[in-house]
Amino acid sequence: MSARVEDVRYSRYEGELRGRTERLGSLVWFGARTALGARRSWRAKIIPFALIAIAAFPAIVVLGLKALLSSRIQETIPEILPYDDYYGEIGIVVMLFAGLVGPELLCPDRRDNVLSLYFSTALERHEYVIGRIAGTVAPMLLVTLFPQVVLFFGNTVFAEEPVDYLRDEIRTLGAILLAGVVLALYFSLLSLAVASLSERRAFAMGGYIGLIVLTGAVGGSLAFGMEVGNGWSLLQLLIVPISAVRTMFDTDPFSDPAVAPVYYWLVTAAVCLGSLAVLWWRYRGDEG
Amino acid sequence: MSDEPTIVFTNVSKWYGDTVAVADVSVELRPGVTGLLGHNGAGKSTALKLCGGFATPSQGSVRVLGTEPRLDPQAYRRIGIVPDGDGMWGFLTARRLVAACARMRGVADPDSAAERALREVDLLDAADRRVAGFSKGMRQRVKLAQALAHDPEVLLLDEPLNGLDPAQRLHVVDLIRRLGEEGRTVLVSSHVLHEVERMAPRVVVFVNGKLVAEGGTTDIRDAILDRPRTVRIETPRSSDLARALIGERLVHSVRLTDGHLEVDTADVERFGLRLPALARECGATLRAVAPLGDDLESVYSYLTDRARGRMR
Amino acid sequence: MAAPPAHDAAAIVADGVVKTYGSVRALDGVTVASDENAVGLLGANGAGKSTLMKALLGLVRTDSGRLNVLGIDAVRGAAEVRHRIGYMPEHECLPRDMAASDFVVQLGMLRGLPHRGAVLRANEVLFQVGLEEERSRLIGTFSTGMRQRVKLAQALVHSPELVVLDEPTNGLDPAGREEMLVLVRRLSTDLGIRVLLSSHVLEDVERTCDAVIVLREGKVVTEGRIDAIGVDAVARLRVRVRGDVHAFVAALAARGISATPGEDGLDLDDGDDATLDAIRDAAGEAGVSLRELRRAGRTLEDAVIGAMQ
Repeated sequence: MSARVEDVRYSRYEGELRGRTERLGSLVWFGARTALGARRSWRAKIIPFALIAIAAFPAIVVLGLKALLSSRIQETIPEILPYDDYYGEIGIVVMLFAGLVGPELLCPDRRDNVLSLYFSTALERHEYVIGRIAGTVAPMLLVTLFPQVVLFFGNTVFAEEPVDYLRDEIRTLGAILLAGVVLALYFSLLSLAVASLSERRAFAMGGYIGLIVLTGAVGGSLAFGMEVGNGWSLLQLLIVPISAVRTMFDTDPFSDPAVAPVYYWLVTAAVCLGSLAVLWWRYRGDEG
Repeated sequence: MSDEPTIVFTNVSKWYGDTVAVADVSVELRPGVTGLLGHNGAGKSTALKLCGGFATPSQGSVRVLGTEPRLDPQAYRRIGIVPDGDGMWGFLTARRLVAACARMRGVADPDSAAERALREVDLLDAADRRVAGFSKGMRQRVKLAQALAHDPEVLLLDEPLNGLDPAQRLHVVDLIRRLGEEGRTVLVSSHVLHEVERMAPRVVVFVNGKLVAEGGTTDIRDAILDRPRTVRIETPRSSDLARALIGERLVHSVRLTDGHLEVDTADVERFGLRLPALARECGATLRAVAPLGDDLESVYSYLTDRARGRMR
Repeated sequence: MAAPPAHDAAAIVADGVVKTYGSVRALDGVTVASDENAVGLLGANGAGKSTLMKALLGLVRTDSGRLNVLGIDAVRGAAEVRHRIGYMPEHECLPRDMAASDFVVQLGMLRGLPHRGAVLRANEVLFQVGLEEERSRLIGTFSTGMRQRVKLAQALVHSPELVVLDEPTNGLDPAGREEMLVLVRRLSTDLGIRVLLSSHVLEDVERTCDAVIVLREGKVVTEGRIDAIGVDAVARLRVRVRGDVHAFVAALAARGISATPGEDGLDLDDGDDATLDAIRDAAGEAGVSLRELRRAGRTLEDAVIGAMQ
C-alpha cells in the first residue's frame, strides 16, 4: 500500500498576467454587473430592471400590436411610434437610470476609501475613471439603445417588404445607434460627474436629479414662460441631448424649433466635456 | 490617603437594547495603575464609560470618588479621560484646546496647566499649531494632555498609546506608571499586553461582559490552580537532568527540544527548591531557567480560553 | 508545487534616496541594502517610514538616488513592482457591501489574473488567512480582526514575492494580535513570501522579523539582524528566587559573586559555566526556590529607541 501527501503551501499563480485592456475590461464588467444589482439582494436588482422594462415597454407594445393586427389588416399600419419620439417618451427613464448607476459605481469606493487601495496596487487614476465611465455607459445602452434597436428590427420584420424597409431605413438604423451611444454617454457622464462630488449615493442621486429639474425649470420658464429668449431653453439639461439626437431623424425637436439644431449639439458636447473635466479634477490625485 | 477604594462597581450590568455589554460585575479599584484587559466587545469601553459617567448602569451601581459620576458635575473636575474616538475641535491650537478643557474643569490657572500638560506629553514645540493638522500620534498626545491638565485624581485611559511611535510609547508608559505612583487611580485599557505589564501592577480581565480575574499578574497566575506550570531549562546535560527530575516526580511531562528541556510541573515551588541540587548531582550547568506562561500575555489567553471552556 | 520560491534578487537596495516635499526632506539620503526575508521598518512619526514605503511601492517618485526592490528600479519599473509586491495598508480601505471573496477576486483580476485564476487564488489566500468559512459574508459584517485579514488576503492574491505590511495589528485585541503575528511570521518562514513590516510596536517586529531598518529624520541610523543587535554589549544575568533572598545573596558573596537588587529580581555580572554553577550551588545551599535565571542583554528596544531619537 502506498500513499501520497501533497504540500500545497507554496501554490502560486504562475501564469501570465493579462494586459491593461483585459484588466480594465474586468473593471467595466464588475461595474456593469454591480449597476444591475448582481450579487446583491433582489431589491438592488428590481429598480434597474424595472427601468429597463419601462424603457422597453413602448417597443413591446408597438410590436405586440403589429403582431396582433398585421395578420388581420392588410394595409400598412401607420407608424404609431416614430423613432425620434421614443427618446422623448422615455427621457425620464434614461435620466433616472443614469442617476441610479453613476452614484452606485463611484460613491461607495470613495466612502469606503477603496480608491486608495486601487490606486496603490492595481490601477492608475485615469484607468479607473475610464473603466467607471464604460461601466456606466454599458448598462445605460440597455435603455438608450437596446429597446430602439428591438423596435427597428421588429418593424423590419412586420413591414410589408422587410428587405426594402431595411434598405430604405438603413440610415435610420445608423441614427439609432449613434443616438443611443450619445444619450448613454451624456447622461452617464453627467451622473458620474455629480456622483464624484459626494461619498453618499443618496446625495449624489438627489443632486443629479435636482440639477436637471432645476435647470429644466429655470430654462423653461425663462425661454417660454417669461419669453426672455428661446436660447434659455438650452439650459434644460434633460431636453437638450434628446433634442440633439432627434435632429438626426429628419424631424423638428419638439421643444423649440427656433433654436438651431447645432446649438443642441454644442450644449450636449459642452456638458459631456464639462463632466469629464469634473471627473478629471476629482480624481487627479496630488502625489509627487 | 485613605484606604477607601476610588472606584466601586457593585453588581453592575449594562444593556444596550438586546446586547449585554457588562454582566454583573463587582470590583473595587484603589489608587495605582490598573490595567483593563479583554477582547473586542468584552465590555472594556463600556466599563470606562460607566466610570466616566457617560453611561448609567442598567443594574447595580457605580461609584467614583464616593459619588455617582453622572449625577455629580463636580466629579468631572477630578476625573481625566482619554477617550477612544476623535472628536476634537480641530480649529483650535493644541495649547488653546488643552487650556479650554482645563478651564471648563475649574482649573485656576488654565494656561500654565496647559503648558505643564503639554510639556509632560512632549508637545510644547507644536503647541501653537492647529490640532486639525496634527498626525494621529500628535492628536493622541493632545488627548492625554487635556486629560492631565486639571490634575485629576482619577484617570480613565482608553488605548492611550494608539498611534504613538516606539519612543513615545515608552515615554507614555513611564508617565502612566509615575501617575500611579503619585497616588492617582489610573485605569488603562490596552491590547498590547507587555506594555500593560510594565505600567500596571494590577489588572482586571473582562471576557464577554464578565469579570474573570482581578489582581497582580503573578498573583492571578498563582490563583489559577488547575493548570501546571511550564519551565524551560537550558543545560548541556538535558537528558540526565530530565531523568533526575522524573525520578523525583517533580515533573509530569518532559520535552527535549534543540538544546533545551521543557518540563511541566504541578508544584513549581518545590520544583525550584530541588532543581539546583539535582542539577549539581548530574553535573548539569544551568545556563537558563525560564518560566513559560507566567507573562501577562499567556495568563490572559489562558483566562479567555478557560472562560470559553477550552482548557489547555 | 512543493518548493518555496527561490529568491534571486536582493529585497531592498537603496542608495542615496532623496525625496523632498516642499521644504521638508522626507528622505534625506537613504542608503541601505537588505536581503533578509523579513525586515522590520522602524522610526519615529515623521522619520520617513511611510515615504520610504510609498517609494518602494512606486507610489511616489523619488527626487534622486537609486531605489531597487526585488531588483527592479522602483521609479522606472513601478508597474512591474506592483505586479510582484503586495501591500496591506494601515487605513480602512475595504468596501462594506461586498463579500470578501468577491472583493479579493476582483482585485486579483484588476492585477491581471484571469477569472479562473483569480477565483482559485482568492480561495487559497482566504484559506491561508483563516477566513474560508466567512468568505461569502459581506465585509461590512466583519470584526476588526477579520477585516485586517481580508486586507492581508488581498495583498497576497496575485502571488507577490514580497509583501509590505503597515501596522497589521492595529485595532486588534490580544488574541487577534497573536493570530496576526503568527500569520505574518508564517509568510516568510513557511510560505516563502518576503515581508517588510512597519510597526510602532517593537514586539511585533521582534516576533515576525529577522532584521530591522531604523530611520531617523530621513536617514537610516541602524540596520541589521535582530539577533546580532546587542551581541557586543556587556550582558548581565537576572536571577529570581523565592524564599530567603538574603541567605542567597550571602551564599553568592561567599563565592565571590556580587548581586544587586534589580527591577525583577537580582542583577549579576555574566560569567562562564563556572559562575553559573556557583549560582546554582548558592541557591541550593540557601534553600531558595530557583524561579528564573536568564541573560538580560541589550534588547531590540534598547538598541533601537536610542537610535530613533
